[in-house]
Amino acid sequence: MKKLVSLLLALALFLSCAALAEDYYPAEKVSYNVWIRMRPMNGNADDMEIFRIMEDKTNIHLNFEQIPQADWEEKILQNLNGGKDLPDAYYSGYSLTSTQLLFYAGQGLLLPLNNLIEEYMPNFKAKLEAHPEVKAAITAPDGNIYSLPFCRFDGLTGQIPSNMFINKVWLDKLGLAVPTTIDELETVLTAFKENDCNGNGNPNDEIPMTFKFEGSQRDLGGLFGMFGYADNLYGGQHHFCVDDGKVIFTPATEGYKKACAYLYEHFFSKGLIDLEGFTMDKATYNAQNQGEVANIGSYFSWNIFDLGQAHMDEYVPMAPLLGPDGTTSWGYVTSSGIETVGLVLTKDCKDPVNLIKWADLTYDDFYGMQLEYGCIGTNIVELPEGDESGYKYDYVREYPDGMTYDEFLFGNTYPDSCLALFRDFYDTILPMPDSAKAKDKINNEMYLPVATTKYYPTLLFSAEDNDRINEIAPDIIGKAEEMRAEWLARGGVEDQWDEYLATLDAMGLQEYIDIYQKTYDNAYN
Amino acid sequence: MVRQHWPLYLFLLPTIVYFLLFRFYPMYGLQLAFKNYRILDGISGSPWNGVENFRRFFSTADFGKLMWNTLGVSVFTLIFTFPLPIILALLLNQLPSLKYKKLVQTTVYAPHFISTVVMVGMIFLFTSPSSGIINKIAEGLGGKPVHYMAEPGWFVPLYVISEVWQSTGWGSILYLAALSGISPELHEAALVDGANKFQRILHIDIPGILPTIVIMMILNAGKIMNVGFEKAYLMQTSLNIRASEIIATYVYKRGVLKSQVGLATAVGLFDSVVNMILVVSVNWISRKVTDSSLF
Repeated sequence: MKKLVSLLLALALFLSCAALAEDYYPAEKVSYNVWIRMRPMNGNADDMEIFRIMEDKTNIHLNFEQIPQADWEEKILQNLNGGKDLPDAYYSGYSLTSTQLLFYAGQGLLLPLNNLIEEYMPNFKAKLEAHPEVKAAITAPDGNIYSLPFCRFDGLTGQIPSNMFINKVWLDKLGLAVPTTIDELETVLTAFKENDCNGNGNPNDEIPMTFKFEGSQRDLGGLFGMFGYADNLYGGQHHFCVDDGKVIFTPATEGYKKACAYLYEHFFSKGLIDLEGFTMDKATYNAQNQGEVANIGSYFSWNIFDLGQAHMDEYVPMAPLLGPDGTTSWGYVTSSGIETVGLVLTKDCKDPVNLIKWADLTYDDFYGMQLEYGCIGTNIVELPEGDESGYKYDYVREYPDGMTYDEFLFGNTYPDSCLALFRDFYDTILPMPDSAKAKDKINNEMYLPVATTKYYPTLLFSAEDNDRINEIAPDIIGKAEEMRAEWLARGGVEDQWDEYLATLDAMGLQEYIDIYQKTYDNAYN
Repeated sequence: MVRQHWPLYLFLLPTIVYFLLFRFYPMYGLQLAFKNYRILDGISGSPWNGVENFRRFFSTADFGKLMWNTLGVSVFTLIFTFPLPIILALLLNQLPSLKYKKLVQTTVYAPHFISTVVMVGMIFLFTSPSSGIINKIAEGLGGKPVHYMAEPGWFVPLYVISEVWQSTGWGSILYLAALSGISPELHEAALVDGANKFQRILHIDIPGILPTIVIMMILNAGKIMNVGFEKAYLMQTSLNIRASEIIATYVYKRGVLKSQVGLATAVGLFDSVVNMILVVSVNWISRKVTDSSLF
């Protein structure tokens, strides 16, 4: 019986391959209206070579409505809330949060894709079979799949969202070593603050340590790990971590209280960590350190080049520090590299089949690679057969005048959309980008050994739970983050802690935790 | 009637169309305040859920704070932005040199044309503790830098000061127009009687524009609950949020970003009712006190 089934399957596969070769794609040009989310660095999507290549291959044309990243969320939600004149699809690696995805799917605005995937997405199906964790992450509790994911397992989207970096030139000048404990960090930052480390004659323009109060990458939540669990402000995890199967809301733990008190007393009140971290936007954060001399002593980021490319060479990574009682922890994510929503089809998409066929092509690594890293001949070169590196392709490393790698890349192609590049791809086809390799090394050597705070994995909630979260979470998260900022910047955690816990309880914290616990149990037990 | 004065009715037409289209037709959507909005069922097809949306808004843990912040921002804005254009207009009106008057007018109108986003960007830049001009001056004078955008106590002053800077000149146009309608004979007669400038302002100019002032006062009372959402939202930081979270920003975050359309509509309706009550009471008071009123 089994044999027969596999024979039939093989036959079906053969037939579909045959079909692929012939009139798999439409004979006459088909067009779709697609909203595409544009980053400031992106070039014009209509001019991108990769979309032309895919159009030539499939005879499917995408009419892009290019929407700047800054307006994306508001525009797309207005569009969906109106429920009329929807485009055929929304396209980008971060088009909707998973909460939004489920909400609008529940309202009947998004198409379930299960049957389409089954019938018309051979490449994507193969990816899902090879990586069941991806399938788990994108399948809603009702069994439907509403989105095509963006997966990139390259170390940049690695298990450790945030690293710390410190200015080695300053350390050398002061005769200090890279700190390994929180006490040493205090000493070093004090020295940074008091001395004219960058040698420009002004001893007051050095910022000992900076961060940005948002997300999981540039925030200082990792430091909380020294007192218990690391904390993060990232939407998908919302301060949640999992300890031995038990879901924990970090802002209501004793360690969190200690962390706020300690960081205020030893760092913020002494001006050792920049208060502007609470008020800067991302553009301002990234624009720091671009002057003639470096002025940042240390910082948090997902990658060394995120801040101050002008003085990148001066910085070295710093491992998680040992806390006052000699312990530490750092946060890690298990579902790293999977973004649930890369492409969604709306109810107004009258002919989803061809669009799905187009999308399936992005899960063919040959096209996925060019979407993510640029076209062969422009951003990527083909290596001769049997190249000693063992790879088939490599990056073009000479960028046109004055361009950075990112500018060169984002100008030519549309990275971080629906596609899936896994480890085997980076092992055999194309090496990881240099930045990803560097980050991978830092993570493996310095962070993963002490990363014991497991952030809540990416999961989809049931429609009912999702509505409930939508209702109570904003108050709870809002309160927790307001007080976190308040205590770090101005202290007072000891006096206000009990009242704070009572407020969270009144807002429905227990129910909120229960929903997360239940969903986690269903997925992993 | 119509046939006789048809040009006048023609002029009226665009306004009527505007109000029907943009002011009355949208009221159709107000029913969402009492409904659980289902997108595909549309506005009229969604199921009713009574006052559930209102209950949720009023039982918000921070409802009191939201209300307090909203009123604080708007009342202070009103106290400062209302009288200043009047004073400015009275002063400008007394300037003998036409050239100088024009120069001053152009200068004070200019800030009005700066968009809110740019305005808030400027506030952030000027008040930055490390590089902002305000703190640099304070430091130069021996003071300590203040992190204005991180202090809840500074939110309202910054909001109001920037509002005054932006709107005073523009707001004075109306009063200048009203002032120019005052008969010069009154001033001439007063001059003959030996009245000085101050006396003329007090007894001729101010009574002359009092009806305008009263009407503007009543109209402004109707806007108390709609504080500039954009500006408050953009000026919010994680450290001043306890002062800067107002009803409008709350609605944006819960209603628009979290897709709770019913809740957002309910709050909008609540705002309008409060505004309506204010307009009617201010109008009533003014009718009793000054004899001039809107209706």
